[in-house]
Amino acid sequence: MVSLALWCALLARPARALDDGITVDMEGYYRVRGVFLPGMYADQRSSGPLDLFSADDGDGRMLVQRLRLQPEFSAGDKAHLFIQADALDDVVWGDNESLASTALFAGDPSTTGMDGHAGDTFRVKRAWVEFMTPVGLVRAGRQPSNWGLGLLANGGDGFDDTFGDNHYGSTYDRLIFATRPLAIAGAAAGKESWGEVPLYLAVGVDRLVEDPLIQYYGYTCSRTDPAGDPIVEGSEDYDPRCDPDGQGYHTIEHDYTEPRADDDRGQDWWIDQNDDVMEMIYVLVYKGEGVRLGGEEGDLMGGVYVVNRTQRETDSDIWIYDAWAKLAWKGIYLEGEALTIRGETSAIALPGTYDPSGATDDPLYKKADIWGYAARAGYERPGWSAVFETGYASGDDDAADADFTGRALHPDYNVGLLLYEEVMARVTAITWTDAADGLWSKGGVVNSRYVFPTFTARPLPGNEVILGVLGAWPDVPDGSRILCREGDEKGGEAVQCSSYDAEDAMLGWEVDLAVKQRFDEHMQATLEGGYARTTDRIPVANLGLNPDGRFWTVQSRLAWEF
Amino acid sequence: MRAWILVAALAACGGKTETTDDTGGGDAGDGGAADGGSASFDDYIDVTDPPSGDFTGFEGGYDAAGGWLSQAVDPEKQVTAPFAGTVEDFQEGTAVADATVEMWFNDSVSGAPDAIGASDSDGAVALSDVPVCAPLTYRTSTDPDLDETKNTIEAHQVYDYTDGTIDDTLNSVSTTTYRLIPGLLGVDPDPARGIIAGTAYDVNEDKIEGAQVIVQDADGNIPDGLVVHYFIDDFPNRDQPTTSADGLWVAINVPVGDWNVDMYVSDGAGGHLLMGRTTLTVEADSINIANIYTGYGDGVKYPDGCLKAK
Repeated sequence: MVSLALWCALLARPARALDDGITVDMEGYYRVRGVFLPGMYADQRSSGPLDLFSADDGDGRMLVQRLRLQPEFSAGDKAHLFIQADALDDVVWGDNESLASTALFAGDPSTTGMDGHAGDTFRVKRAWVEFMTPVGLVRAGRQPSNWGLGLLANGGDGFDDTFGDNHYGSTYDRLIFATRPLAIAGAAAGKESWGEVPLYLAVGVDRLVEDPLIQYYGYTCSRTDPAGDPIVEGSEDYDPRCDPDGQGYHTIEHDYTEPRADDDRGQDWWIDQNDDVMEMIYVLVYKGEGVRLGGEEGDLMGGVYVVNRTQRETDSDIWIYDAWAKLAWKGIYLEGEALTIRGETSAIALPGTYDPSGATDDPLYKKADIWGYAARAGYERPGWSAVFETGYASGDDDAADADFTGRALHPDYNVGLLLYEEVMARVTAITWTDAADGLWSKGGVVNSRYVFPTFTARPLPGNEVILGVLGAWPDVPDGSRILCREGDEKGGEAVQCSSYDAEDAMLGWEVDLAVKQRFDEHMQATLEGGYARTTDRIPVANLGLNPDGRFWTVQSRLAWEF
Repeated sequence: MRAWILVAALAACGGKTETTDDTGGGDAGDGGAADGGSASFDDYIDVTDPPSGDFTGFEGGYDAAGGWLSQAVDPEKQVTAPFAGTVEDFQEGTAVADATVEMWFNDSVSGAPDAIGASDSDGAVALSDVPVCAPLTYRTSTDPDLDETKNTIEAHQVYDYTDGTIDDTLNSVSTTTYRLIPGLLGVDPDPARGIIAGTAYDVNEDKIEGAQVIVQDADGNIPDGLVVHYFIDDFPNRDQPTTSADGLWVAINVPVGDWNVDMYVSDGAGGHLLMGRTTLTVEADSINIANIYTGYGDGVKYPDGCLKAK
C-alpha cells in the first residue's frame, strides 16, 4: 500500500477513448474553504472569545481554494500515465500582492498562498507512469506516497480527514516495483491458488537530492578568533580545512552550511555522489479486502514499510520502520500505525539544532530515536459510527543535543481543527522562526499524546454529522514551546528545566463538530466548528497568541469532485 | 553558528564583598528558581571552584577594596566627534536598512535621546557631536510592524579618543535570533521583560572563567522568573554552571526597570566575592548588552586613550 493508487491502478476505470486507442480519465476536485478564526493573536483579539458577530480587527476571515486536475492516460489496462496538477493551490481569495496600486481599486486577484507568499497559478506537482510486467507492476516518476493512516507518508489526496483539509502531501521521485511474491512462487511450484493471496511486496528507490543548493560543510571556518585576531597555524583554533592553500592561517570563512545560488553551480553539479540523498523503500503488505472471516466478509490488511535514507557527506544512515494494520469486520473497526525513526546523521544544521559546546566532537551529530503512533478502535453501523482514537508523537526537550527524538506526525494527518492545526502550528513556527522551518509542526501532532473520540451520525443520505473531542498531553516539555511542570519525567527521570512555570498536566482540549452533505453526486458541502482551550503548558501570551488560551473557529468547504 | 555568537560578539565589542548570607534570587547552573517559588541568592551564586583571571588590585573583591576602583579620565579627551557607523544584523552580519539609531549621552535610556538618526539602505548612519571618552547608551530599532528586529540596547559604550570621526558598528538583533537563543536554552522569553547579556572581564579585560552573575534591584531583590545561563565556546549551554573561557552570560526575563547585574567569584572558602557590577535600564521586549569589568561598579570601562597619563 505504498500509495493505494499503486494497487488501485489495477482496477479498470470508466474512461474516454482517443482515436489511437488511448483512453483518458479525469479525476480531481475544486474546493473552496472558508476560515473564520477570531482572536488568534493577542494584539488582534476580538472583544469576546465567543462573539460570533463581532467585526474586530482580529476576527480573521479567509477563503482559500484549490483546483486539482489528475488526468490519466491509459493504453489498455496495463500502461498508464498519470499527471497531477494544481491550479490556485491553496491560494487566498483576493489581490494580496498589490497588483492594483491602490487596494481599494483591487480587481484581478493574485496567487498568494496561505503562507503569505505568491505562488504559481498552475503547477504540475506529480507525473508518473506505471505499467504491468509479467511479474509485477512498475511505477516511475514523481508520485504520491501514502502508507497506512498517513502518519509518515501521506499523499494528501482527496478529502480523507474527519476535520479540515489536506494542504501538503508526500511526493517523491521514485522508481518502484511491486509484485505478488506468492503468485510467482505459486507459479513456480504449480500452486496457482497461492496467487490468490493478496500479499504484495514492493521495492523502490527514491532520489531525494542530486545536489543540495545549500552548500554543506559540517564544520565552521572563521578567519579570526573571538578576540578579532587572525587564526594562524599553531593556534588552538587553527583548522587546516580552513586553510586549503596552506597559507598558515585561515583564509576562508563559512558556517556549517552556506546558501548558494544555482548560478554558483558548475557543469558537473550533478556528478558528485557524496552529497546525494537517496532512500531505499521496502514494503510488505497483506491487503485482504472482502475476505471471509468467521463466516462474514471483512477487510483485513496490514504490513510494514521500511525506509533507509542515506547521505554520505553527512554520515547519515537513517532507518524508518512503519507498521500498519486494519480490520473492518462485523462493524468492528480497528486500525493502527506505529513508526520509529532510528539512525545517525550530521545533516541537521538548522539554527538551534546543533551544539558546538556539547559532549560529542561533532556538533551536528544526532542519534535519531523518534516514535509515533495512532490507533483507532470503533464500531460502525450504516447510520452511525463511533471511533476512539489515540496517538503519539515523541518530542525533544533539547533539539541542540545529540539525541534527536522529536518529530511531528504528517501535517495532513489532521487531528481536530485548532489545537494542533492552528495553535501548535503557530507555536512551533514562531519559536523556530523561518530560519528553522523544517522543525515546524505545520499542524501535525507534535510532542504529545492525545485521545480523540469521534461519533458520526448519518441521519440522511449523503449526510454526516461528526462530533469529536480532543484531549492532549505533552510528551517532553522543552521549556520554550511546551513549558515544564514539577514532576515531568523523561524516560523515568525528572525533566531538567530552567523554570517550572506550568501547573496543568494537559496541553489542552478541544471540541469539534462537522456537518457534511454530499449532493448531486459530485458536490459536497461541509460546515465545521471547533473550540479549544489551551493550558499553561503552552506560552500563548508570550508568543503573541490569545493569552486567554481560548480559541475557536468556524470553517466551511464547498467542493466539486470528479 | 553566527547566530549563537551573537551575545559573544556583542558583549565582546563592547561592590562589596558578598558572602553566602547575601539575600537577594533558582538553581545555579541554569540560574533560576527551579521550584517555581521566590528565588534566592544561592539559587544563582553557588560557584565553589576558583576563577581564572587576573584580579590584581581587586583580589578580595568589593569589600576588601572598600569600594569600586576609579578611573582618571582626562577631561580634555572628553570631546565630541562626528559619528559614521553601520547598523548590522548580528546573525547575518549584513547591513540593516531603515534602522532608527538613538543615543543617550547620559548613558541611560530615559527621556528623549540626545542624538537620533536612521540607517540608509547600506546600513550606514551618521550622527554629529557624539561624545568620546564618555559613556553613552545606544538603541537600534526598526519598524515594529515589520517585526524584523528587536530593540537592541548597548549600554556603557565608550568611544576612544579621536579628533576625527568615530567609526563603529552598531548591533541590531533580529527577531529570529531573539527567538532561537531562549529556545535553545529551553526558556520561554516574556516579551513584557528583557534580556541582558554580556561578558565578564578581569582587570586586563581578559575573559573570566568561573564567574556567576545575578540580577538585583537597588535593594537586593531578585526578580521572579529570572533565568541566567552561561556559554561554552561562545555558544549558549543549558548545563554550564558558570562563565567558561568565553566569559559570556545571559540573563533572560528581566523585568522592566533599573537593575544591577553583579558578578561573583568563589572566595575559596565557601563564600563569594563581588568582583564587578553593571547597571542598566531594561525595556520590555529588548536585548540589552552590558559587560562587567572587575573592579568597576557601573559597567563603564574607559579605553586607555581616554585616561590621564600616569
